[in-house]
Amino acid sequence: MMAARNFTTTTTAGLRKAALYLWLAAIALWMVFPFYYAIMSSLETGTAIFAPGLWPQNISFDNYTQLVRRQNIWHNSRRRSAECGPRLGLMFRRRACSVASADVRVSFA
Amino acid sequence: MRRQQLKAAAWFLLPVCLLLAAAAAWPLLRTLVLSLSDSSLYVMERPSWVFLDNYLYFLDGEAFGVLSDPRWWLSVRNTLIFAVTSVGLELVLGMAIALTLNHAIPMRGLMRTVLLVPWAIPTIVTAQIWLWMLHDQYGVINHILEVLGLIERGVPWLSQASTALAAIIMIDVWKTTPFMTLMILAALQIVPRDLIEAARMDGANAAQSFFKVTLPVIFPAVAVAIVFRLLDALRVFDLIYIINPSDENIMSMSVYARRLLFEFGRFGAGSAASILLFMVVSMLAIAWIKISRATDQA
Repeated sequence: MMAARNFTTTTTAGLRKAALYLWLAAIALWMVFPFYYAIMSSLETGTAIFAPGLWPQNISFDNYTQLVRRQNIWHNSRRRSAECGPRLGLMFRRRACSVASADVRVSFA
Repeated sequence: MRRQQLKAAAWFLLPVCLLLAAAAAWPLLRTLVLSLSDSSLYVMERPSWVFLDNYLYFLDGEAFGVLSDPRWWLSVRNTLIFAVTSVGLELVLGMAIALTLNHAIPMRGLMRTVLLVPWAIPTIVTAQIWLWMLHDQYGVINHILEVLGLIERGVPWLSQASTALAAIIMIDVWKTTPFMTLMILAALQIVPRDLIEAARMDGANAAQSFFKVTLPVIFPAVAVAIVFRLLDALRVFDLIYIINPSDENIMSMSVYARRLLFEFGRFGAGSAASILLFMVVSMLAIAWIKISRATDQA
């Protein structure tokens, strides 16, 4: 009798624990999945992005290098500060910037 | 002495008043003035006063103006459905998650970090991610549902009239549930533990101690969160604008106003729509202030 009671209480405790973990896992999956999928999509190459899947076929960081190289987010911000700098009396920054952005171009070309 | 202090206080308040006047009062007044004129991008003549004609007027038994436009009422309906449903779902889910996280559960720190992910992503990026995930041909969600055998071919969740608004509400719930959870979690942490223990000693079950003890204590903080979210949801713009700025089935009031203002160049009518939106939101805010004052005094 006692043993049976113990057994049921431990089972219900176990079930409760399982339900809690299931609930936590569901929340975590729901919250993180879109973010995870965005990162995975960013590692795709070419037309592989059109094949839906949970992870990329080949992992590549091409999109990131392209972002710097073709869209050139760093270069643009530097160029802008180099253009606006002299007006603000920041001649020294202009020289430093042009050198730095030339470096970026060379190293990626 | 007192006069001097008052004078000093007025000087200290002046910068803030000027800032508020420049940032809030001036644009509002200008919109109000514009809404009473027929100013437009595509008319060369000087705008003239038309007073309330942008809102509603009758000519030969036909109604004109924003209030006579069925698309305006459709956007009002969409906005109200969006605001009430998304805030309601966020409240229920946020409450459930916050109650779970308030206990000493395993991996509590990790769960809190996970919760911050959707809230930390800019809405524009959120909209793009979901737009891609819900794509009818290449979207991963349709792919998963197909693999599970729940659907036969991809469903265009965001572009068919029957599911578009529901999908947008789901995205907003995804994005804003963390905010609700953190607000409720903060409120839950001020509930004295001995109150709950006393209720349990008196024989209250979990539901009773929640509704009779916890809820009354956290209610003021939760009410603030609800009102903030409601005001936010009534002004919803970026999410819907990214998903589809010209779909009438999901158009919100602010998307409608933007369309009149910048797509059709009708500054007068667009300003009238903006003022109507402002009136809806400010009525809610005033009602909230009145209610909270009344409950404070009671």
